Amino acid sequence: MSEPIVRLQGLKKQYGTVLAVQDLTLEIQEGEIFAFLGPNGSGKTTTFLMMMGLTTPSGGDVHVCGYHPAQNPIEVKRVVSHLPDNLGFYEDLTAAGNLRYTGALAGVEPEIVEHKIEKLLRRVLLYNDRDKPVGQFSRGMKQRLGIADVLIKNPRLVILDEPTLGLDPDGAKELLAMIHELSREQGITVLLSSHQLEHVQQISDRIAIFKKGEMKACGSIHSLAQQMQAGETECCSLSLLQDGGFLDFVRKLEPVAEASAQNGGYRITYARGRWQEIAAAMANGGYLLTRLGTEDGNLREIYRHFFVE
Amino acid sequence: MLKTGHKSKTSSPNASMRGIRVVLRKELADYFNSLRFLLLMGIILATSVLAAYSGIANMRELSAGTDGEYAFLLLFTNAGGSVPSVVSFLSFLGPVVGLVLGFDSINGERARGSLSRVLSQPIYRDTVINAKFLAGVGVISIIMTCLWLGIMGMGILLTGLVPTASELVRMVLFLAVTILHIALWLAVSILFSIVFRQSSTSSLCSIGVWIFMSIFVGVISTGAAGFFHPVTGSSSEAVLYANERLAYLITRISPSVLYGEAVNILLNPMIRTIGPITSLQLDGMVSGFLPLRESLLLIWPHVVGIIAAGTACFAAAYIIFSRQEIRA
Repeated sequence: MSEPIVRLQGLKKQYGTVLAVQDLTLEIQEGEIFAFLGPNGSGKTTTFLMMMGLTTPSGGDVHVCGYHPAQNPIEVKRVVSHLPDNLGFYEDLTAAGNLRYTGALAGVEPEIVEHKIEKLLRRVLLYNDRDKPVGQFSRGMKQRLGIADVLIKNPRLVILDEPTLGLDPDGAKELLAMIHELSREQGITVLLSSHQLEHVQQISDRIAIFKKGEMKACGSIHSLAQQMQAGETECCSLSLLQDGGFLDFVRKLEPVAEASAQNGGYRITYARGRWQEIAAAMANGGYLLTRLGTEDGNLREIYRHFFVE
Repeated sequence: MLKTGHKSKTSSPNASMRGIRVVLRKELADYFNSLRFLLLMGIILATSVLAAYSGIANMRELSAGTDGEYAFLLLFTNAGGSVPSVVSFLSFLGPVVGLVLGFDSINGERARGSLSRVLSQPIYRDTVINAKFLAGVGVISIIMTCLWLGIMGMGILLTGLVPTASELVRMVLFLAVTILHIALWLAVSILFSIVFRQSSTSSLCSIGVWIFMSIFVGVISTGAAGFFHPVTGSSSEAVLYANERLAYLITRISPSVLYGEAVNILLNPMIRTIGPITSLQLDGMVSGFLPLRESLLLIWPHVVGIIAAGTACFAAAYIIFSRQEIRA
């Protein structure tokens, strides 16, 4: 395998007494779409800032595109684009004006920058709004402009901090599809963060799960599901023909750990491999199933497994 | 070497220049498009032109004693009736120009989130602060030069006087010192905009410092001088002298006082000394104009003081900014 585009070794960051990132070791390969998944304050943004050379690590080693960001920030920033979670566009400049400024700062030649701006704005469906001040843009439009913004300097690696933050489900889906296409078309490595697993699930090749500054797990969705199988419970969701007193009934069953009403049906968590006992008890109790769904390998489970403890 | 460790050997030398050019252009464009700039320009121009205009009224009587020599300079230093002179307006309002231009230069960008996006581009971190300071100095120079030309033009039209070469040199130096003085206040406000995260805090602190330096420093200096060298009806000349000297010394921590003294000496060649002098020293003095070289000698410490204070503020801002965490 070729040299990884990002290599973190024992990376640490401490703010006062708070460990924002602890002992993070990770390799990301060129061309991958890699997601950092975790709640707010779990160290995702701090890791990004250390990779951009905007924050100095308290310990450990960072390599991005073959450079040390702390010692060679300019070289790193030449080939890595970063979109902060708050976007930070100049609201009084137009969409094209913002891109022009980024392009000039990044040193894109003036002859080609106009052509690039046009191409990128068309690509993110903002061409008709190019002369509107960004202050009038909706959140979704700003996020799409952010995608154009990071691509203006032909990066090898794009870091997107919470690109789907504050978007409605359709907007998020559209944006992620756009990121996926652009990454595949141009062979750009994408590193994104989110606290919403449905989002990262759609496009990521690999996911790293963060909690309180630590990476809890890392791998493809499939392998994360397998790591989770090691757990002692599984769950299912079900609907019943007639459900009077079902919750009380099912909670008394010995293998059941947890039961709750959900979307007009029920969701129960039980000891692994003991579904048959529950099914038999339900049949005896006169509860007839109209629908049964297992959630094995679903990201919701993964999320519960790693975050809700 | 700073902790963030920029300036590597491998990066191209023009990265820094390119960055400064780009940020400078953007900052200047922002200033010229802003309401803030128009407002400042309007206030400063209106007050100064008014001051100069009312100063013209009694110029004839004032310049009679000197055969009209250096009469043109009276445009700036003469207070007509109830309106203060241009120079006193500028020493009071000049700092406001610097403060208003700079008070949110860094924390405003931080609040909008544009700072981290700009710093994610391949430019050095100090590029941002250097370019912002340069842009501010550029705007100050433009405002002050307009004002200066406006007053001179009005003077020529209304009085029929044409400045002589030596008057012109003195006025050019006056303009330079004015720009330096306002740049110092710009550095102060940029420093505050880096230290404080909220632009409201930084603006209030800048205004606080400005009010202290332009009003309270005088009160404090007389108070302190009276405390250390109490003056009574029967005090000796030495005590009087010490009292005055101390008061002068204290007021000079204020850059506005330094500026006021410096430009008064520049624009009024009759002034040959500053601070208290004894009647013994006056004895046998020949009245006349001070040559430019002598005037410069008198104000040199003032100018150095203004430059030093400005440099110190900017250096502090530079160092703090280079070491600061980007995220709030």
